[in-house]
Amino acid sequence: MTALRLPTARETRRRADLLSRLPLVLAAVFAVLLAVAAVAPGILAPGSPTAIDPAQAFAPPSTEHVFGTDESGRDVYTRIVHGAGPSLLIGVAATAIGLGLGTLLGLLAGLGGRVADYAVGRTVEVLFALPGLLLALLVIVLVGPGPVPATIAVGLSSAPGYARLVRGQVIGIRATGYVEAARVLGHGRTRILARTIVPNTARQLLVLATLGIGQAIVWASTLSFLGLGTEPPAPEWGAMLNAGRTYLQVAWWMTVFPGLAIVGTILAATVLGRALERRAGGLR
Amino acid sequence: MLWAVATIVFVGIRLVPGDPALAILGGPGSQASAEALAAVRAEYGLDQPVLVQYGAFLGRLVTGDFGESYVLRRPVADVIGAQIGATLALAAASLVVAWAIAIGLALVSTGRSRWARSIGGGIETVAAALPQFWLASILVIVFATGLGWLPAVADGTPAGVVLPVLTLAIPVAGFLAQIMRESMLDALAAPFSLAARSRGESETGLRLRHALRHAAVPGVELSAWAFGYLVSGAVVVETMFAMPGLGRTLLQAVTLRDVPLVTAVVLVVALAYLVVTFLADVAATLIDPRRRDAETGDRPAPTPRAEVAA
Amino acid sequence: MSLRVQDLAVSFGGVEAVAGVSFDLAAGQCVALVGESGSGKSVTARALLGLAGADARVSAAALELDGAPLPAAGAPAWRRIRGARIGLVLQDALGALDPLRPVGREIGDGLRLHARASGSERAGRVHDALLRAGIENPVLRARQRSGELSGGLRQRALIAAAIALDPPYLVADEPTTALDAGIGRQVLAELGRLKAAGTGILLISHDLDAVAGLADHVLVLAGGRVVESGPTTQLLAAPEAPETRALLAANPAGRPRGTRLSIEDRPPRHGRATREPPIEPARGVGGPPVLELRDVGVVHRTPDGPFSALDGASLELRRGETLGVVGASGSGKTTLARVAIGLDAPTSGQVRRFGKPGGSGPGALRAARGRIGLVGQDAGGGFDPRWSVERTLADALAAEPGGRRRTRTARRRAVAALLDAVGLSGSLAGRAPASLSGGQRQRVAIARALAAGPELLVLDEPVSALDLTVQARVLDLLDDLQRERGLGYLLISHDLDVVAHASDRIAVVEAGRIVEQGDAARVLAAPEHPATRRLLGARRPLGGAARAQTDPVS
Repeated sequence: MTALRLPTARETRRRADLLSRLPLVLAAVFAVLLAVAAVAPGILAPGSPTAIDPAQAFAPPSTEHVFGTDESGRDVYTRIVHGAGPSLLIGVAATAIGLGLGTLLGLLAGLGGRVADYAVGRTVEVLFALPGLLLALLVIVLVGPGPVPATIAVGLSSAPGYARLVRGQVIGIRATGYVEAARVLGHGRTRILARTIVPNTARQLLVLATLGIGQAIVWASTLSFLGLGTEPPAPEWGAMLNAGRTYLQVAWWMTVFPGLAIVGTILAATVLGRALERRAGGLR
Repeated sequence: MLWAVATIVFVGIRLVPGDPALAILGGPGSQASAEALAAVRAEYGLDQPVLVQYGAFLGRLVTGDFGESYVLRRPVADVIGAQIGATLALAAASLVVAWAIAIGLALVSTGRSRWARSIGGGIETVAAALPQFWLASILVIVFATGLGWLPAVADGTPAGVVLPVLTLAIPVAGFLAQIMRESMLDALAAPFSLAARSRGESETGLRLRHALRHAAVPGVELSAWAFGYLVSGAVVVETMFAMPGLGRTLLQAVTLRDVPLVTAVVLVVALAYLVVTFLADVAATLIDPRRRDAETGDRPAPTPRAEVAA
Repeated sequence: MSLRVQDLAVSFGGVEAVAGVSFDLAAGQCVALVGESGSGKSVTARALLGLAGADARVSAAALELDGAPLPAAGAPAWRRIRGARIGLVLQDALGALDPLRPVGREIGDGLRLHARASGSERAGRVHDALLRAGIENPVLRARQRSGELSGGLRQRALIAAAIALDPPYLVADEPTTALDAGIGRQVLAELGRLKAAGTGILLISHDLDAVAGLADHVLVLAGGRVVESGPTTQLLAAPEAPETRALLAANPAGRPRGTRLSIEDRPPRHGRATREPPIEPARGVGGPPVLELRDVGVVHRTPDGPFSALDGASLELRRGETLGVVGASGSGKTTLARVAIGLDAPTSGQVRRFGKPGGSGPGALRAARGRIGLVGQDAGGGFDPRWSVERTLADALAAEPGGRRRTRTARRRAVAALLDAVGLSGSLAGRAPASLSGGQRQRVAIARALAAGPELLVLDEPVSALDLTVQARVLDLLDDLQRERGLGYLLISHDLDVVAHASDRIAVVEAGRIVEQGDAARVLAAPEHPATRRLLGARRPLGGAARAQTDPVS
């Protein structure tokens, strides 16, 4: 049957090339723009994100201010570009915290034997009963608001999900024929762990991290939007949306464009993550 | 299980840097006197050893006594009791709407022409990527400010709940449709679909009688997760649309660092989540009896992968 | 009145999957399409129902059902033919019945769609179809879902679904492949009864012997072409095409130990291309046992209480000797293999490896390091997907004492030698396991097991995922290696024919117990335990008798 399917798949791929590649190309372009905006925002937007010009307050989008201006006359486009850095930083840092902690717990559960597995499994299960935002709010109420607590909160609340997935991965890989073969060959635990289990898990973690960054940015900006994370007038996307909320009726551009930046980032992360997933040979 | 949640919450509270008594009196800025602090400690039992506090904490929970809100100075149980109905109703309504949208999307886009599939898949991906707070704003801009069809705040009329429900339902519908379409595709490619076609079944009949049933199982399982997502979303939506409910209460409590109230809300939501998970499990087993025989112990309910961070 | 196929061709995206298929299926007749995977037989079957797929291009000089041409691809008229005039019996691979619907509903679908029968009338006809397919207690069965039925019942239910509307023609696609031999024979008998009652049957199979008893006419397919066709008896008596001969020769049934099963030209192995097949004395045969199990029991803890996977198992294995362990799935064979290697710990009893008491776990595996090899059933998961063949083998070579100190060139040379030993070209070294064929992967698995120079190989269903001719080549390879290297084999299989062909001694396992053990010839000729007799009795499919007179190697 494989002999039959191969040409079909190839044929299908050729026909669907343009249609299926387009999102990937767009996502890649967007990701590159984001990276430039985060590292060197001055290239894309030379102005200052906090420069006030009260005479220009609430200017709708025009050739001068493509995305309009806010209540103090600050250029929304410039602020979005300069906001990429802080927003991405929070997203990446939160993902790193969540993924790091989750991986640690997951490896512990997957490799540490029955007791560790039980303990981690139950803890993760308990944390799972708390929807992510609620867990983050709990952390905030304990630690207090601000960008750093928000990052930690989002990171911590994403850890159980990662832990569960990593545990599943490790257990899945441990049960495969090739790990069994390595055991029969008499290879030691550490060798099997270092050469087989960890590399195979890491491949999948890369996919998870890509998919996760988008979500982390959403949750972090949600906290900012609720006034618990970064506060205006710092150019962070969630904070910008929080400011825009007050003027929703008069200045829609203050809400629409920063939101589009967030949505674009998640979509780019999702599309790129899925492409990685396909290349990695599929996540179980 | 609930006991474990309670314990984690308690440990969390004890780990807070800073003095809870100070928090009760309004935080470090309040310049409370030493006598006032001592009085508060005695009142809330904070001068007892940690284990005693823990025991008392659990004891009160069992009797449904969540203590008194630091800020509102009312029993927490009363505050929650007054608010929970609205939030549950909102979440339930949103879930129903999400299912309707998801089934429609999945049926229309699965296994049809390449274009239908790509567009359907695109809509799902975008819907699932929409942050609730932004979606709410956009809906208000379009339907309230722009077209003037619907009120921008929940004014108590039926029209007032349309935007809040849509805000919550659309992203969930995106996730549901994704997972349902995946299982529908699997079902349509399965040998039993070939067998059904070989009996003369039509493509539409195949979708309705076979594929939809297979898609319903992961959909139902995902609904438990979606419920948590919806309750989280209620924090945003109730705030945005000025609706009464647990979410808005929680946000206020977080802002004011009202620990007893936040603790109680978290525990209540965890309880609700457990109940919903159980119901979803029962429903999924009714549709697919094989689940009963399978080892369900370690098998986690599915979560959309993109949502691991949520 | 017949189903007439003239010069049928199916292509996918310009690539021809099958071409030049012609036959005439009359009422009460049976035509068989025989070939290995990828030969195009299933595509042909599906094309006859208009189900070759959206990407398929079907063309034929004639494709007629009772004198009228079959509809064009995708035409709605197909739906009136499917089920009502041509029925399809699919292979039961646990998926041809919708697991979420009661079996009766699945069977009733055809009646609902074609006969517009009322509910009660439909129920009656469903029960009737179940009875005709040889299922007792149809009322109960109709209410159950596929997961609650055994494999044999499921296959019968699929037959019932196909015959519910009494279609004059039936296409049966590998109806016995997923079944134990005995049940497969009953299913073939069921099809035989339908044929006698006037149904025209197109039988698709990979097993020429299995169809021999039922088919009047056989077409042998290979690579999408008909390589040979003719009346069954004639074709079996004087097979002409090399593919047909290879298929016949590959069947291990009734072929004594040492006879070669593969007859085709495979890549010549280094320095032994002209080797003669007769039995040579093997090196290092006999001696003290390399593996001993004394009264070994394994009890698993399950939610429903303790489950005894293995109970009081004792066996011995020496170098150069093959001990075949045969039993149905779930009988404890694999547990036996795992305990023997040291992957699992016995709950009771003793395992001795190479004359020393052996435990289990990493320590035991390390102690026997390099001396025991494992070849599992290839389900695609046997290799690290990131590693090339070379890296896989190099990793295995490192298990050899002193193996890690090899220089890069020495390692490369050792890998090349291993590939050569299993009859693979050295050019495969850089390939990923996913890009290899099933037979090639299994050879790499054997090479991996050989890397550290073992004395004992545990072969757990080593050929059950392979096509018959590929299986033949792998079995011959194992035979060669055993003779060259004096290896002891513990061969685990559900297939008595494979075990009978390859073993010196046979152990029969049933429900965790070794119920009979002894010299292969004795066990096969004079079985003592009922379980052995059942296995033996079930072994011969219908075609066995026909085949016995026409042994192709004689």
